[in-house]
Amino acid sequence: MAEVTGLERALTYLRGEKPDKMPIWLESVYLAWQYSGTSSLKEYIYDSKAIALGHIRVAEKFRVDITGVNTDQWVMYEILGAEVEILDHVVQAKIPPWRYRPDRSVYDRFFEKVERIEKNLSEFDPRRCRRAKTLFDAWKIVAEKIGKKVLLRQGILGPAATLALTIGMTEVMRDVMIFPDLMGTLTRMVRGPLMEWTVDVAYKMVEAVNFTNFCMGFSGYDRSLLNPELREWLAQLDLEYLSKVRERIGNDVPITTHVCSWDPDLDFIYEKFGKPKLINELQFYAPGSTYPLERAVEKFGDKIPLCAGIDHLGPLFTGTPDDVEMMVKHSIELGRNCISFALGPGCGLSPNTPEENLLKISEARDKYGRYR
Amino acid sequence: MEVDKIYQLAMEFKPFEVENEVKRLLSEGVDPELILIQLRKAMIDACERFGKEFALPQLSAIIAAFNMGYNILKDKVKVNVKGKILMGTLGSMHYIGKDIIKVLYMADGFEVIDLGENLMAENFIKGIIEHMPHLVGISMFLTNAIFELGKIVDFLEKEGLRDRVKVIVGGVQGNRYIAEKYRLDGWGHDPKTALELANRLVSEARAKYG
Repeated sequence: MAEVTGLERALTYLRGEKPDKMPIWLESVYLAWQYSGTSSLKEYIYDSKAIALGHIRVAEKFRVDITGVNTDQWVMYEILGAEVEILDHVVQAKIPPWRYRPDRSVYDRFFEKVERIEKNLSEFDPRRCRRAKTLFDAWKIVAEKIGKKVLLRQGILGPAATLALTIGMTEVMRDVMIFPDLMGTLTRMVRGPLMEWTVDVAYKMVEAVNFTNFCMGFSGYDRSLLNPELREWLAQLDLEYLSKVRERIGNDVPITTHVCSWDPDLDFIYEKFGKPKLINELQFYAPGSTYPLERAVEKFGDKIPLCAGIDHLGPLFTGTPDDVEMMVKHSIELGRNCISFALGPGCGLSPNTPEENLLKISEARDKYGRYR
Repeated sequence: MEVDKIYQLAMEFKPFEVENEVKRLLSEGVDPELILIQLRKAMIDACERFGKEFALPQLSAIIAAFNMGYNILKDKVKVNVKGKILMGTLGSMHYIGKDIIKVLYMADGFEVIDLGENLMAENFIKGIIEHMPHLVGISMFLTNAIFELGKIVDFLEKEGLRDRVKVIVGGVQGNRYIAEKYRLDGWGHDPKTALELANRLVSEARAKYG
């Protein structure tokens, strides 16, 4: 009998059924860089073959069933004006001048720019910028090489996050408190041109990985990040966004999630997005976050597939292989009570995660995580 | 009291009004220390409300008010001698967590030296040599530079400074495992814990080394 592929395993899990064994999700921007063999980050980031190779090597070496191919959070937003710096050790947004002194005019200037999206969407195709083009090329290579064997988890946050990541996440959060009229302006931008743009980019990403998956980030729904009023505002926009994405990609492409925050409001996320079946799973950071896996299994395990169980900053990073085996075994025991369960960390792995610990995950999964 | 308005404006998320009011009060001869007390009170109260009615947006707005007010006052007020804390973000540009704790420490009476962001071990080591703090507070938002923590602690041990200079970690990628692995003195997982740790550890360091 042919061995079940990781892709088949993952798709079965996402349908809420039990495959042969519990799938594993792992990914890491910086680990992939390490495994690419390109020592300079500044060269790596512009080399689609190196990006693809690094991610493929990680996926194959650690026998993952689900993975993503990424470089950083801002790559798609450069076409909208996000400014990025590439240092020897990190790719990140440049700190804007309005970090030091709030500046209301930043938003008016940004609105003038993005209003043009409604007249000419193609002018804002992220692939017009070199880094996004490189990443799209990398996705093509990875999809061709391993896309039939591994679920490629690829996606983008919602349009409110598009705005925040372009202008500055911390600055936008601060400024909505300082400039009372700003919420109206932001809502118009997000509901209008940014909604159109983000949905379009979401579709392009799903297309790039052969329609295996769309992944939506929900890390904004952290209790310490946003208070209930702002969380509700964000949710209304993200609901609209996700419905439009679903319309565009169809019902057959699963929508996975990314909840890497430390204090996730998982109940809110499930209520808003899980109950109406807009998402196909709840991936979140447990153990390691304030939301215990035991509680999530009890509350949602019979309702939606769960992906969790690996503390990527705890035993996986600091422990021994035996610690990792214990952690995986415990998570699997909990996961058996779900309609389906996948093993996954909270977020991208640290580049110095011990190799023997990473290898132990699939070993322990094979030992304890079989359904049949 | 007239200066109470500073606290009020800060808690209403009005940093430009705070800035103007500070300038106005100074021009009328109000003691800068009294004005600073109001900014400190706002910061401490904001951190108390964090996780309840305040989240990051509210805290960021009050920090903006504190910073804009403090920029005018800083050359007119005494530097506190409760203890010296060196802070910075390891490996990335993320600053808000660090800034929250930094301003909280300042409000609580510590002298804080902020090395900024995008730091690696060598930057912290340089800062330790230059400033000889009682405590080093390291903020981490990404996983890319966690291993640098070991280099900082190794340096302190090699120079015989490990007991004299305490080290804590905070931020999204900090946790008790990381703190244990790299032999740190604590993990400040929220503002309240970060403040408690600073007070305890700096007291310990000062009791032995002054």
